[in-house]
Amino acid sequence: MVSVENPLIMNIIRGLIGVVAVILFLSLNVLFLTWLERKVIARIHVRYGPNRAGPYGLLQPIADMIKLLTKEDIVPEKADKLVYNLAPMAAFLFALMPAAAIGIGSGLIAADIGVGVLYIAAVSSLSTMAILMAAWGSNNKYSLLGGMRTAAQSLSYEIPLVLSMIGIVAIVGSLSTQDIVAAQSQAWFGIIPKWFIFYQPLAFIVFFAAVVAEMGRIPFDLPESESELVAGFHTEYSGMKFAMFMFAEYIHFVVGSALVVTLFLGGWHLPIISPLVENMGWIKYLVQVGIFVAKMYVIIFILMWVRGTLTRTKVDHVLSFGWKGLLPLALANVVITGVILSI
Amino acid sequence: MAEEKPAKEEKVEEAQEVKHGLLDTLKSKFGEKILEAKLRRPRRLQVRIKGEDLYPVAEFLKSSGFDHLSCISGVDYEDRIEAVYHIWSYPRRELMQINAELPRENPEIASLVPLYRAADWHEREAYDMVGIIFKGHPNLKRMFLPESFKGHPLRKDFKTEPMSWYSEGEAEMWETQVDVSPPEEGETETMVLNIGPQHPSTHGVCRLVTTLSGETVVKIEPVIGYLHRGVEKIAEKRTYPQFLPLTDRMDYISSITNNLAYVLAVEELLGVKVPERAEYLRVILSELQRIANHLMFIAAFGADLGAWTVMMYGFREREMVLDLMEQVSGQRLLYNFLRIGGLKEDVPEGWVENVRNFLRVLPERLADYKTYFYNNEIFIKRCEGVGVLEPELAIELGVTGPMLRASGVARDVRKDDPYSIYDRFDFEVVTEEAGDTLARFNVRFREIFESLNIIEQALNDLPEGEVRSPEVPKVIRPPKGEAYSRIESPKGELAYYIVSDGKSPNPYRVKIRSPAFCNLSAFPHYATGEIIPDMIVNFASVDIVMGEIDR
Repeated sequence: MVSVENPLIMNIIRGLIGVVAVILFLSLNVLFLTWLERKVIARIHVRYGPNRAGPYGLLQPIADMIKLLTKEDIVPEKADKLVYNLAPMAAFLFALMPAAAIGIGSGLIAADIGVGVLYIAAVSSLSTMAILMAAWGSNNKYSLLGGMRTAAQSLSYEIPLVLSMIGIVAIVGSLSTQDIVAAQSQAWFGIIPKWFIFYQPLAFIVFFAAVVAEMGRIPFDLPESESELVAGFHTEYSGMKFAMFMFAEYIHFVVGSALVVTLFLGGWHLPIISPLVENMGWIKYLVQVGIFVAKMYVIIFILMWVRGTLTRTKVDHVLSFGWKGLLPLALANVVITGVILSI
Repeated sequence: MAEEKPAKEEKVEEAQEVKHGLLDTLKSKFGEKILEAKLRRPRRLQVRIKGEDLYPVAEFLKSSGFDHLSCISGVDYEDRIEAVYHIWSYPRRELMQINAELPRENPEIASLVPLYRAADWHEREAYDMVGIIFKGHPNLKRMFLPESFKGHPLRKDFKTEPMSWYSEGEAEMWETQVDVSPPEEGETETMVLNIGPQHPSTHGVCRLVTTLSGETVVKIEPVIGYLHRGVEKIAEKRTYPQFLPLTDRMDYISSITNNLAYVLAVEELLGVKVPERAEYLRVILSELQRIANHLMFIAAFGADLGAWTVMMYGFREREMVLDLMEQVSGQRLLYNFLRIGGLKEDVPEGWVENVRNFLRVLPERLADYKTYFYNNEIFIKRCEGVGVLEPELAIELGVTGPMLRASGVARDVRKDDPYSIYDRFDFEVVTEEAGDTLARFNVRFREIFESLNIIEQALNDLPEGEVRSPEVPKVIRPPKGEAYSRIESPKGELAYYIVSDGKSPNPYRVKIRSPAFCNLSAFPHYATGEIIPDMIVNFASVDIVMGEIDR
């Protein structure tokens, strides 16, 4: 029998628990989100939204799941079978990966790695690969155009995204998300939180825009703009494979919002309440998770609201906005932060 | 308004003088070649010629101001075939009808494409339906039917049974329609993308064969006919009243205007006068219909831009019009409410109040639209400068309606060639200068307010009385003749050309000049050279309904 004191075994067990916890947390949120988004958008549209399955249509995500599971799985005859079949799984996996380095409470993190922010930036761009795989593997022109757009879009948004994080990293002096959140725990006069949104407003704007583009939501949903490209890269997917893309998309939604909360909105800290529960054992963790999720849903709601109010942009506008608008802003932010810090 | 009326009559007098002058000039210039020249009624001229003389006559007419080729119809008279051209003159405000007689065995005639680019699709249609060969047409292929189709269905000797027109090879039949080879001058490799017939933003079953270079559209070729139901053929087998419900199914977004154009043509043939109250109600209904159509346009336009909220808003407001229509006709989409000589029945009690209520509510609701669109930089950026259609090109391509007015040409059939009682109302012809997609959107949006204005005036003057003329006989057998009724439908100039042989209770020939058909034919001319998202917005701004295009 292996000793439980063995650090390797302990790490594996801890890692496994982390993986399960992350997947569970994300899945529950995604299920809830699909319902919430439909409900919120419906309200903006002056509709009711789902209201048949369960109270307030709350069981709608489950009904959808059953529907998608029982649908026929169609593989186009001329598709590149291997790439075509791997793409949804890759999308799902790559969407999950950044979540490992984002904590929802102090110590409540799957992998507190020293280079957390860098890791997140690196793996979140991987999902572009999955989309390109789907686009190429489907052997469909609409998919291909969608894939090309994704590649162009992610190129122009990755760079401002990473650059806008540099200011924070410079202030904190660490890449770990735990440290970044800890650095935002204080408050002026005990009320006004010292969140990075106040230190780095410019970076916040750039980051927020880039994250929306990264998520591929309106106004940046060009890769799958239904009025032009039918469904873009996932035109040819049906049933569960389609569901995996949708799932990956909503995970992006959750992870992106969680990232905004972690980096700019003080993570699980809230003035007045956080200091109160500091020494209350497990209640502290419960409150922290609650605060984090609440903040996350504020961001999510704003994004849904944006979707309800804006129209889709054009691919050339998106690119010029990324390169000519966000990138200089992000660079300026880096310079300003550097100057102030060195003084 | 009151002081303008006599002035208008004077103008008509004047116009008659001019018309006679023109007919005389024609006679003196072409001599024996003009078989017949007459003034059918104010603003309606007609000449009859031999087919081979068409081109010089048309050339002369174009040089004397007849700039808008409205329609080309083919009519099979069993002893001969006639190609009938309706050419409207914007400066002179009169319509010239040219009947060109062709031999039945070999109906060949010169193509008018070099003179009027609008002739392109009209000639293809006449070739498809009646089998007239247009010499010199750049691309004489069938318009609606597959290339494998045998015969021409609107010939009088065409037999629907047995199905000799049908040929095997359904799969290839659409493929033959379009040349998909890449353009010659393209150095980069291009890709052919079939947008449609099943595609979210083709608004029905329209197929756009687009050649792309990257995302840039190099060439567009619309392929239509997927919804072709042979309405013109059916019309010949139905009595006049029986055909009325089918007109609803043309432009099903605005059925009333289709009803109206048809009954106007039949009434012209019969020489029936419609009761005053019916005329006013027709105007009110048409304008309500225009509002519904434009709201639908805004909704669909929003959907194409990814603005689903606007789509829902548009439908919500349109619902109010549908409710009003339901109150009068019992139907929500295909009203079938107009009758030859009036209306089906009077409007129910309280309806006028409901309309007034609607007039009050709608502007408040539309204020939201203004916020949504005009404060939305993304929307403005997507539409501004996209798909600019120059006014000269627009006229040459036969574009009508809001699309033409968006290019700065203030032409509206309601003003230029007033039908029904439109000359009694005071309204503005909405125009925009830019000619881009935003202008096309603006024109439609502003026209809603003009329509509200017209409805208001009509409600104020609405007289009591009959709504159906007692002159209309039980069995409608109009005397021998032709009628061409032009109206301003929400999409543009809609016209019904009806030929009666004088003995049958069925129309001898019904030809429908569909506005969306002509506007769509102009689409490839201004939408190339832009990227796909622009093309989609452009396409949406044409405001098409396939039921009307394919007929």
